[in-house]
Amino acid sequence: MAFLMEDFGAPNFSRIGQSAIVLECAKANAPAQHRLWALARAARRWAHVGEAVVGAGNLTLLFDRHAIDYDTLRAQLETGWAGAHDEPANERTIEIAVRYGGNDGPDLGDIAQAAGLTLEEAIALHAAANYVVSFVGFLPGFAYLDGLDERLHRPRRTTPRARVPAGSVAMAGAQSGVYPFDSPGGWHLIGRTDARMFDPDREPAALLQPGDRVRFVPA
Amino acid sequence: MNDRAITIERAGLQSLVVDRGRFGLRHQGVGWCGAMDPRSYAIANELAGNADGAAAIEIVLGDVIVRFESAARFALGGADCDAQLDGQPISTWATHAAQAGSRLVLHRPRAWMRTMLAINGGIDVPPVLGSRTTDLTAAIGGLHGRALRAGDCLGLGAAREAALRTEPEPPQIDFVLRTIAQPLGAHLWDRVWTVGHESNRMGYRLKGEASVHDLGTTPSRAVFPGFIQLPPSGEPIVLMSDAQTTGGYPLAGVVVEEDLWMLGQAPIGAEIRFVPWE
Repeated sequence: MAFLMEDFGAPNFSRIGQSAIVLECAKANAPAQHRLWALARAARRWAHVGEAVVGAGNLTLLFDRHAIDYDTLRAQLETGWAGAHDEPANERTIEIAVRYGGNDGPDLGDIAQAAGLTLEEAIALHAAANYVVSFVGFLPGFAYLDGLDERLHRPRRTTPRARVPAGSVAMAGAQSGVYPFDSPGGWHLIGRTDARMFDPDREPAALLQPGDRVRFVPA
Repeated sequence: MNDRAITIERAGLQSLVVDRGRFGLRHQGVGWCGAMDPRSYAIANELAGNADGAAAIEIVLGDVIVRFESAARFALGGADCDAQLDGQPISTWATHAAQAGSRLVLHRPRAWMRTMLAINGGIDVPPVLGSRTTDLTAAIGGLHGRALRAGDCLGLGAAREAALRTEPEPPQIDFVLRTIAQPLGAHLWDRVWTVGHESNRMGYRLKGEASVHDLGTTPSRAVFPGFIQLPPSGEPIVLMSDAQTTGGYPLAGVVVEEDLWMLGQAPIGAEIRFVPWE
Protein backbone atom coordinates (compact mmCIF):
# COMPACT_ATOMS: atom_id res chain seq x y z
CA MET A 1 0.00 0.00 0.00
CA ALA A 2 1.37 3.41 -0.93
CA PHE A 3 0.97 6.53 1.14
CA LEU A 4 1.21 10.02 -0.24
CA MET A 5 3.97 12.23 1.11
CA GLU A 6 1.30 14.60 2.41
CA ASP A 7 0.41 11.94 4.92
CA PHE A 8 3.79 12.35 6.57
CA GLY A 9 4.81 15.99 6.29
CA ALA A 10 8.47 16.90 5.92
CA PRO A 11 10.67 15.26 8.55
CA ASN A 12 12.91 17.32 10.79
CA PHE A 13 16.69 16.70 10.83
CA SER A 14 19.09 17.50 13.63
CA ARG A 15 22.62 16.71 14.65
CA ILE A 16 23.35 15.33 18.11
CA GLY A 17 26.96 15.48 19.28
CA GLN A 18 29.73 14.86 16.76
CA SER A 19 28.46 11.83 14.91
CA ALA A 20 24.70 11.34 15.18
CA ILE A 21 21.97 12.55 12.84
CA VAL A 22 18.33 12.27 13.83
CA LEU A 23 15.35 12.19 11.49
CA GLU A 24 12.10 12.98 13.31
CA CYS A 25 8.79 12.36 11.59
CA ALA A 26 6.38 15.28 11.50
CA LYS A 27 3.67 12.84 12.52
CA ALA A 28 4.38 9.67 14.47
CA ASN A 29 1.93 7.11 13.10
CA ALA A 30 1.99 3.55 11.84
CA PRO A 31 2.76 4.30 8.16
CA ALA A 32 5.57 6.67 9.18
CA GLN A 33 6.99 3.95 11.44
CA HIS A 34 6.84 1.48 8.50
CA ARG A 35 8.82 3.93 6.41
CA LEU A 36 11.41 4.35 9.18
CA TRP A 37 11.99 0.58 9.33
CA ALA A 38 12.60 0.45 5.57
CA LEU A 39 14.89 3.48 5.64
CA ALA A 40 16.88 2.08 8.61
CA ARG A 41 17.34 -1.25 6.81
CA ALA A 42 18.67 0.56 3.75
CA ALA A 43 20.90 2.91 5.80
CA ARG A 44 22.63 -0.04 7.50
CA ARG A 45 24.14 -0.82 4.09
CA TRP A 46 25.32 2.74 3.41
CA ALA A 47 29.03 3.50 3.58
CA HIS A 48 30.23 5.24 6.77
CA VAL A 49 27.06 4.47 8.75
CA GLY A 50 27.78 2.47 11.93
CA GLU A 51 24.38 2.25 13.57
CA ALA A 52 20.82 2.90 12.37
CA VAL A 53 18.37 2.87 15.27
CA VAL A 54 14.61 3.41 14.98
CA GLY A 55 12.79 4.95 17.94
CA ALA A 56 9.21 6.17 18.43
CA GLY A 57 8.72 8.21 15.26
CA ASN A 58 12.41 8.83 14.68
CA LEU A 59 15.57 7.32 13.20
CA THR A 60 19.13 7.98 14.35
CA LEU A 61 22.24 7.20 12.30
CA LEU A 62 25.70 7.14 13.80
CA PHE A 63 28.23 8.04 11.14
CA ASP A 64 32.00 8.18 10.67
CA ARG A 65 32.54 11.94 10.69
CA HIS A 66 36.06 11.53 9.30
CA ALA A 67 34.65 9.92 6.16
CA ILE A 68 31.36 11.71 5.50
CA ASP A 69 30.03 15.11 6.52
CA TYR A 70 26.69 15.84 8.12
CA ASP A 71 25.17 17.72 5.18
CA THR A 72 25.97 14.93 2.72
CA LEU A 73 24.38 12.34 4.96
CA ARG A 74 21.39 14.57 5.62
CA ALA A 75 20.77 14.89 1.88
CA GLN A 76 21.13 11.11 1.51
CA LEU A 77 18.58 10.60 4.29
CA GLU A 78 16.17 13.07 2.75
CA THR A 79 16.31 11.28 -0.59
CA GLY A 80 16.04 7.94 1.17
CA TRP A 81 13.00 9.05 3.15
CA ALA A 82 11.23 10.29 0.02
CA GLY A 83 11.92 7.06 -1.84
CA ALA A 84 11.54 4.53 0.96
CA HIS A 85 8.77 2.03 0.41
CA ASP A 86 6.27 1.71 3.15
CA GLU A 87 7.15 -1.61 4.66
CA PRO A 88 4.45 -4.08 3.68
CA ALA A 89 2.86 -5.50 6.80
CA ASN A 90 5.04 -8.30 8.06
CA GLU A 91 3.35 -11.66 7.69
CA ARG A 92 4.95 -13.07 10.81
CA THR A 93 2.77 -13.56 13.86
CA ILE A 94 4.56 -14.69 16.99
CA GLU A 95 2.67 -16.16 19.92
CA ILE A 96 4.04 -15.75 23.41
CA ALA A 97 2.68 -17.96 26.19
CA VAL A 98 2.17 -15.98 29.41
CA ARG A 99 1.51 -16.97 33.00
CA TYR A 100 -0.57 -13.98 34.15
CA GLY A 101 -0.76 -12.61 37.70
CA GLY A 102 0.43 -13.98 41.02
CA ASN A 103 4.18 -13.86 41.64
CA ASP A 104 4.71 -13.77 37.86
CA GLY A 105 2.72 -10.55 37.47
CA PRO A 106 2.68 -8.66 40.78
CA ASP A 107 1.12 -5.49 39.29
CA LEU A 108 -1.83 -7.17 37.54
CA GLY A 109 -4.16 -6.47 40.50
CA ASP A 110 -3.36 -2.74 40.51
CA ILE A 111 -3.78 -2.49 36.75
CA ALA A 112 -7.16 -4.26 36.85
CA GLN A 113 -8.37 -2.18 39.78
CA ALA A 114 -7.36 1.12 38.17
CA ALA A 115 -9.28 0.09 35.05
CA GLY A 116 -12.31 -1.07 37.05
CA LEU A 117 -11.88 -4.62 35.78
CA THR A 118 -11.63 -8.06 37.34
CA LEU A 119 -8.29 -9.88 36.99
CA GLU A 120 -9.85 -12.16 34.39
CA GLU A 121 -11.13 -9.22 32.35
CA ALA A 122 -7.74 -7.47 32.45
CA ILE A 123 -6.00 -10.67 31.31
CA ALA A 124 -8.56 -11.15 28.53
CA LEU A 125 -8.03 -7.56 27.32
CA HIS A 126 -4.24 -7.91 27.28
CA ALA A 127 -4.41 -11.26 25.50
CA ALA A 128 -7.06 -10.19 22.97
CA ALA A 129 -5.03 -7.38 21.40
CA ASN A 130 -3.05 -7.65 18.17
CA TYR A 131 0.32 -6.09 18.91
CA VAL A 132 2.86 -4.78 16.41
CA VAL A 133 6.57 -4.35 17.17
CA SER A 134 7.23 -0.62 16.85
CA PHE A 135 10.96 -0.77 17.56
CA VAL A 136 13.58 -2.73 19.50
CA GLY A 137 15.67 -0.95 22.12
CA PHE A 138 16.66 -0.43 25.75
CA LEU A 139 17.94 -4.00 26.26
CA PRO A 140 19.01 -6.74 23.81
CA GLY A 141 15.75 -8.05 22.32
CA PHE A 142 13.38 -5.69 24.15
CA ALA A 143 10.54 -4.96 21.69
CA TYR A 144 8.20 -2.00 22.17
CA LEU A 145 4.73 -3.27 21.25
CA ASP A 146 1.94 -0.99 20.06
CA GLY A 147 -1.67 -2.09 20.35
CA LEU A 148 -2.38 -2.15 24.07
CA ASP A 149 -6.09 -1.66 24.81
CA GLU A 150 -6.73 1.92 25.95
CA ARG A 151 -8.42 0.75 29.11
CA LEU A 152 -5.06 -0.67 30.25
CA HIS A 153 -2.98 2.45 29.59
CA ARG A 154 -1.17 3.57 32.77
CA PRO A 155 1.86 5.80 33.30
CA ARG A 156 5.00 3.94 34.33
CA ARG A 157 5.62 3.25 38.02
CA THR A 158 6.79 6.29 39.98
CA THR A 159 9.54 4.20 41.57
CA PRO A 160 11.26 1.79 39.18
CA ARG A 161 12.14 -1.67 40.45
CA ALA A 162 15.85 -2.32 40.95
CA ARG A 163 15.41 -5.80 39.49
CA VAL A 164 12.75 -7.05 37.12
CA PRO A 165 13.08 -10.80 36.42
CA ALA A 166 13.84 -11.98 32.89
CA GLY A 167 10.70 -12.97 30.95
CA SER A 168 8.45 -10.48 32.76
CA VAL A 169 5.54 -9.35 30.57
CA ALA A 170 5.00 -5.67 31.24
CA MET A 171 3.10 -2.57 30.21
CA ALA A 172 3.50 1.20 30.49
CA GLY A 173 1.79 4.05 28.71
CA ALA A 174 0.27 2.76 25.48
CA GLN A 175 2.78 -0.09 25.08
CA SER A 176 3.49 -3.61 26.22
CA GLY A 177 6.77 -5.51 26.22
CA VAL A 178 8.78 -8.43 27.61
CA TYR A 179 11.97 -7.99 29.66
CA PRO A 180 14.54 -10.29 27.99
CA PHE A 181 16.96 -10.19 30.95
CA ASP A 182 17.02 -9.36 34.63
CA SER A 183 17.29 -5.60 34.72
CA PRO A 184 16.03 -2.49 36.48
CA GLY A 185 12.65 -1.41 35.13
CA GLY A 186 9.74 0.96 35.62
CA TRP A 187 6.95 -0.85 33.74
CA HIS A 188 4.04 -2.65 35.40
CA LEU A 189 4.57 -6.43 35.57
CA ILE A 190 1.48 -8.47 34.72
CA GLY A 191 2.87 -11.90 33.82
CA ARG A 192 5.83 -13.96 32.79
CA THR A 193 6.93 -16.04 29.81
CA ASP A 194 9.60 -18.68 29.20
CA ALA A 195 10.10 -17.50 25.59
CA ARG A 196 13.74 -16.75 24.78
CA MET A 197 13.56 -13.12 23.70
CA PHE A 198 17.24 -12.86 22.76
CA ASP A 199 19.56 -15.64 21.61
CA PRO A 200 23.00 -14.75 20.18
CA ASP A 201 23.03 -18.04 18.23
CA ARG A 202 19.84 -17.11 16.38
CA GLU A 203 19.78 -14.85 13.30
CA PRO A 204 18.52 -12.26 14.05
CA ALA A 205 19.23 -12.64 17.75
CA ALA A 206 16.12 -10.75 18.90
CA LEU A 207 12.96 -12.89 18.75
CA LEU A 208 10.75 -9.91 17.87
CA GLN A 209 11.59 -7.70 14.88
CA PRO A 210 9.99 -4.42 13.78
CA GLY A 211 6.72 -5.11 12.03
CA ASP A 212 6.17 -8.50 13.65
CA ARG A 213 2.67 -9.11 14.96
CA VAL A 214 2.53 -10.48 18.49
CA ARG A 215 -0.18 -12.33 20.39
CA PHE A 216 -0.03 -13.11 24.09
CA VAL A 217 -1.61 -16.48 24.94
CA PRO A 218 -2.58 -17.22 28.56
CA ALA A 219 -0.68 -20.37 29.61
CA MET B 1 45.46 -24.08 19.00
CA ASN B 2 48.40 -23.30 21.27
CA ASP B 3 49.06 -23.68 24.97
CA ARG B 4 49.54 -20.00 25.72
CA ALA B 5 47.36 -19.11 28.68
CA ILE B 6 46.97 -17.23 31.93
CA THR B 7 45.15 -18.09 35.14
CA ILE B 8 43.34 -15.55 37.30
CA GLU B 9 44.41 -16.23 40.89
CA ARG B 10 42.67 -13.20 42.34
CA ALA B 11 39.92 -11.43 40.39
CA GLY B 12 39.48 -8.15 42.31
CA LEU B 13 36.29 -6.07 42.36
CA GLN B 14 35.43 -6.47 38.67
CA SER B 15 37.69 -7.78 35.94
CA LEU B 16 36.27 -8.14 32.45
CA VAL B 17 37.46 -9.28 29.05
CA VAL B 18 36.93 -6.22 26.83
CA ASP B 19 37.64 -4.99 23.33
CA ARG B 20 36.55 -1.85 21.47
CA GLY B 21 32.94 -2.94 21.55
CA ARG B 22 30.13 -4.85 19.85
CA PHE B 23 29.07 -2.49 17.08
CA GLY B 24 26.24 -2.33 14.59
CA LEU B 25 23.53 -4.07 16.63
CA ARG B 26 22.01 -1.25 18.62
CA HIS B 27 18.82 -1.66 16.55
CA GLN B 28 18.53 -5.10 18.18
CA GLY B 29 18.99 -3.51 21.60
CA VAL B 30 22.60 -4.72 21.87
CA GLY B 31 24.95 -2.25 23.62
CA TRP B 32 28.60 -1.68 22.74
CA CYS B 33 30.06 -2.73 26.12
CA GLY B 34 33.59 -1.79 25.02
CA ALA B 35 36.53 -0.73 27.20
CA MET B 36 35.52 2.07 29.60
CA ASP B 37 38.83 3.81 28.92
CA PRO B 38 39.38 3.21 25.19
CA ARG B 39 42.47 5.42 25.17
CA SER B 40 44.43 3.39 27.76
CA TYR B 41 43.10 0.21 26.15
CA ALA B 42 44.51 1.24 22.76
CA ILE B 43 47.90 2.24 24.20
CA ALA B 44 48.23 -0.97 26.24
CA ASN B 45 47.36 -3.09 23.20
CA GLU B 46 49.90 -1.31 21.06
CA LEU B 47 52.62 -1.72 23.69
CA ALA B 48 51.77 -5.43 23.94
CA GLY B 49 52.29 -5.82 20.19
CA ASN B 50 48.60 -6.45 19.51
CA ALA B 51 46.43 -5.33 16.63
CA ASP B 52 43.88 -2.66 17.48
CA GLY B 53 40.79 -4.43 18.74
CA ALA B 54 42.51 -7.37 20.48
CA ALA B 55 40.75 -8.44 23.68
CA ALA B 56 42.33 -7.27 26.93
CA ILE B 57 41.38 -7.38 30.62
CA GLU B 58 39.85 -4.31 32.27
CA ILE B 59 40.44 -4.28 36.02
CA VAL B 60 38.52 -2.05 38.47
CA LEU B 61 40.61 -0.73 41.38
CA GLY B 62 43.42 -3.30 41.16
CA ASP B 63 43.70 -6.10 43.73
CA VAL B 64 44.34 -8.76 41.09
CA ILE B 65 46.85 -11.61 40.71
CA VAL B 66 47.49 -13.23 37.34
CA ARG B 67 49.69 -16.30 36.75
CA PHE B 68 51.25 -16.76 33.33
CA GLU B 69 51.05 -20.43 32.26
CA SER B 70 53.42 -19.69 29.40
CA ALA B 71 55.95 -16.98 28.55
CA ALA B 72 54.24 -13.87 27.15
CA ARG B 73 54.86 -10.18 26.74
CA PHE B 74 52.25 -7.86 28.17
CA ALA B 75 51.59 -4.20 28.96
CA LEU B 76 49.66 -2.21 31.54
CA GLY B 77 47.78 1.03 30.91
CA GLY B 78 45.43 3.21 32.93
CA ALA B 79 45.37 3.21 36.74
CA ASP B 80 48.82 2.64 38.30
CA CYS B 81 48.49 -0.28 40.72
CA ASP B 82 52.12 -0.48 41.95
CA ALA B 83 52.36 -3.64 39.85
CA GLN B 84 54.91 -6.33 40.61
CA LEU B 85 56.11 -9.11 38.34
CA ASP B 86 57.62 -11.94 40.40
CA GLY B 87 58.12 -9.50 43.25
CA GLN B 88 59.87 -6.82 41.20
CA PRO B 89 58.15 -3.45 40.69
CA ILE B 90 57.20 -2.78 37.07
CA SER B 91 55.90 0.35 35.45
CA THR B 92 52.52 1.11 33.91
CA TRP B 93 52.56 2.28 30.25
CA ALA B 94 55.32 -0.19 29.35
CA THR B 95 55.87 -3.62 27.81
CA HIS B 96 57.13 -6.42 30.08
CA ALA B 97 58.17 -10.05 29.59
CA ALA B 98 56.60 -12.75 31.77
CA GLN B 99 57.98 -16.31 31.97
CA ALA B 100 55.96 -19.49 32.36
CA GLY B 101 54.96 -19.48 36.03
CA SER B 102 55.42 -15.71 36.48
CA ARG B 103 53.02 -13.91 38.79
CA LEU B 104 51.69 -10.41 38.14
CA VAL B 105 50.33 -8.65 41.22
CA LEU B 106 48.26 -5.45 41.06
CA HIS B 107 47.59 -3.46 44.23
CA ARG B 108 44.90 -0.87 44.81
CA PRO B 109 45.60 2.28 42.77
CA ARG B 110 45.99 5.67 44.49
CA ALA B 111 44.38 7.49 41.58
CA TRP B 112 42.28 6.58 38.55
CA MET B 113 39.85 3.68 38.43
CA ARG B 114 40.66 1.09 35.78
CA THR B 115 43.77 -0.75 34.64
CA MET B 116 44.04 -2.29 31.19
CA LEU B 117 46.07 -5.50 31.03
CA ALA B 118 46.91 -6.28 27.40
CA ILE B 119 48.73 -9.54 26.74
CA ASN B 120 50.56 -10.35 23.54
CA GLY B 121 48.28 -12.32 21.22
CA GLY B 122 45.15 -11.03 22.94
CA ILE B 123 42.68 -12.89 25.17
CA ASP B 124 41.38 -15.77 23.08
CA VAL B 125 37.70 -16.13 23.91
CA PRO B 126 35.20 -16.85 21.12
CA PRO B 127 33.69 -13.74 19.51
CA VAL B 128 29.93 -13.39 20.01
CA LEU B 129 28.02 -11.23 17.52
CA GLY B 130 31.31 -9.91 16.22
CA SER B 131 33.07 -9.02 19.47
CA ARG B 132 34.88 -10.59 22.42
CA THR B 133 33.80 -7.89 24.87
CA THR B 134 31.71 -8.86 27.90
CA ASP B 135 28.04 -7.82 27.95
CA LEU B 136 26.98 -8.39 31.55
CA THR B 137 23.29 -7.69 30.86
CA ALA B 138 22.88 -10.19 28.03
CA ALA B 139 25.54 -12.47 29.58
CA ILE B 140 27.41 -12.83 26.29
CA GLY B 141 31.03 -12.36 25.24
CA GLY B 142 34.10 -12.45 27.46
CA LEU B 143 34.36 -15.62 29.52
CA HIS B 144 30.81 -17.08 29.68
CA GLY B 145 29.39 -13.55 29.62
CA ARG B 146 30.48 -12.79 33.17
CA ALA B 147 33.18 -11.04 35.20
CA LEU B 148 36.35 -13.09 35.80
CA ARG B 149 36.70 -15.20 38.94
CA ALA B 150 39.64 -16.74 40.78
CA GLY B 151 40.60 -19.97 39.03
CA ASP B 152 39.52 -18.87 35.54
CA CYS B 153 41.97 -19.88 32.83
CA LEU B 154 42.12 -17.76 29.67
CA GLY B 155 43.82 -18.80 26.43
CA LEU B 156 45.92 -16.35 24.45
CA GLY B 157 46.09 -15.79 20.71
CA ALA B 158 49.22 -16.64 18.72
CA ALA B 159 52.36 -14.71 19.75
CA ARG B 160 53.25 -11.59 17.78
CA GLU B 161 56.37 -9.49 17.69
CA ALA B 162 56.53 -7.03 20.60
CA ALA B 163 59.49 -4.86 21.53
CA LEU B 164 60.06 -3.98 25.19
CA ARG B 165 59.33 -0.27 25.30
CA THR B 166 57.69 2.52 27.25
CA GLU B 167 54.94 4.89 26.12
CA PRO B 168 56.71 8.27 25.87
CA GLU B 169 53.59 10.36 26.53
CA PRO B 170 51.07 8.62 28.76
CA PRO B 171 47.70 10.42 28.92
CA GLN B 172 46.98 12.98 31.63
CA ILE B 173 43.60 13.50 33.26
CA ASP B 174 42.04 16.78 34.37
CA PHE B 175 38.38 15.65 34.49
CA VAL B 176 37.36 18.62 32.36
CA LEU B 177 35.07 17.18 29.70
CA ARG B 178 34.54 19.10 26.47
CA THR B 179 30.84 18.83 25.70
CA ILE B 180 28.59 19.66 22.76
CA ALA B 181 25.54 21.41 24.17
CA GLN B 182 21.94 20.53 23.41
CA PRO B 183 19.26 23.16 24.14
CA LEU B 184 19.46 22.30 27.87
CA GLY B 185 23.27 22.49 27.86
CA ALA B 186 23.60 25.71 29.87
CA HIS B 187 22.57 23.66 32.90
CA LEU B 188 25.91 21.79 32.77
CA TRP B 189 28.44 24.63 32.84
CA ASP B 190 29.98 26.64 35.66
CA ARG B 191 29.54 24.10 38.41
CA VAL B 192 31.31 21.10 39.81
CA TRP B 193 29.64 17.69 39.48
CA THR B 194 30.59 14.77 41.70
CA VAL B 195 30.54 11.14 40.52
CA GLY B 196 27.76 9.48 42.54
CA HIS B 197 27.62 6.04 44.15
CA GLU B 198 25.18 4.58 41.64
CA SER B 199 27.65 5.02 38.79
CA ASN B 200 28.54 1.94 36.78
CA ARG B 201 29.37 0.78 33.26
CA MET B 202 25.88 1.76 32.07
CA GLY B 203 26.03 5.35 33.24
CA TYR B 204 27.65 7.82 35.59
CA ARG B 205 25.17 9.55 37.88
CA LEU B 206 26.46 12.97 38.82
CA LYS B 207 25.58 14.84 42.00
CA GLY B 208 25.50 18.60 42.23
CA GLU B 209 23.44 21.73 42.16
CA ALA B 210 20.66 21.01 39.68
CA SER B 211 19.04 24.11 38.20
CA VAL B 212 16.26 22.28 36.33
CA HIS B 213 13.84 19.59 37.52
CA ASP B 214 11.07 17.36 36.23
CA LEU B 215 11.65 17.96 32.55
CA GLY B 216 9.48 14.96 31.77
CA THR B 217 10.26 12.54 28.96
CA THR B 218 10.50 12.71 25.19
CA PRO B 219 9.59 10.05 22.59
CA SER B 220 12.10 7.20 22.84
CA ARG B 221 15.04 7.53 20.52
CA ALA B 222 18.57 6.23 20.15
CA VAL B 223 21.13 7.08 22.82
CA PHE B 224 24.88 6.37 22.82
CA PRO B 225 27.80 6.45 25.25
CA GLY B 226 28.68 10.08 25.97
CA PHE B 227 25.07 11.32 25.85
CA ILE B 228 24.15 13.34 28.96
CA GLN B 229 20.56 12.79 30.10
CA LEU B 230 18.53 14.86 32.55
CA PRO B 231 16.24 12.63 34.66
CA PRO B 232 13.56 14.22 36.93
CA SER B 233 16.17 15.03 39.63
CA GLY B 234 17.93 17.35 37.17
CA GLU B 235 21.23 15.69 38.09
CA PRO B 236 22.90 14.54 34.86
CA ILE B 237 23.52 10.93 33.89
CA VAL B 238 26.39 10.44 31.44
CA LEU B 239 25.81 7.25 29.46
CA MET B 240 28.83 4.93 29.35
CA SER B 241 29.97 1.75 27.54
CA ASP B 242 27.09 -0.53 28.63
CA ALA B 243 24.39 2.10 28.08
CA GLN B 244 20.93 1.06 26.92
CA THR B 245 20.26 1.69 23.22
CA THR B 246 17.17 3.90 23.45
CA GLY B 247 16.01 6.41 26.05
CA GLY B 248 13.42 9.08 26.70
CA TYR B 249 15.05 11.59 29.06
CA PRO B 250 15.84 15.06 27.70
CA LEU B 251 19.44 15.52 26.57
CA ALA B 252 21.71 18.22 28.00
CA GLY B 253 24.68 17.51 25.77
CA VAL B 254 27.16 14.99 24.42
CA VAL B 255 30.68 14.54 25.78
CA VAL B 256 33.27 14.82 22.99
CA GLU B 257 34.35 11.30 21.99
CA GLU B 258 38.02 12.08 22.63
CA ASP B 259 37.30 13.02 26.28
CA LEU B 260 34.89 10.30 27.42
CA TRP B 261 37.76 7.95 28.41
CA MET B 262 38.51 10.27 31.35
CA LEU B 263 35.13 9.51 32.91
CA GLY B 264 35.93 5.79 32.72
CA GLN B 265 38.83 6.62 35.02
CA ALA B 266 36.80 8.77 37.45
CA PRO B 267 36.29 7.07 40.80
CA ILE B 268 33.17 7.64 42.89
CA GLY B 269 33.51 11.06 44.52
CA ALA B 270 35.67 12.48 41.73
CA GLU B 271 34.86 16.06 40.78
CA ILE B 272 34.30 16.75 37.11
CA ARG B 273 33.44 19.77 34.99
CA PHE B 274 31.84 20.23 31.61
CA VAL B 275 33.02 22.97 29.26
CA PRO B 276 31.35 23.93 25.99
CA TRP B 277 33.08 22.56 22.90
CA GLU B 278 33.19 24.71 19.83
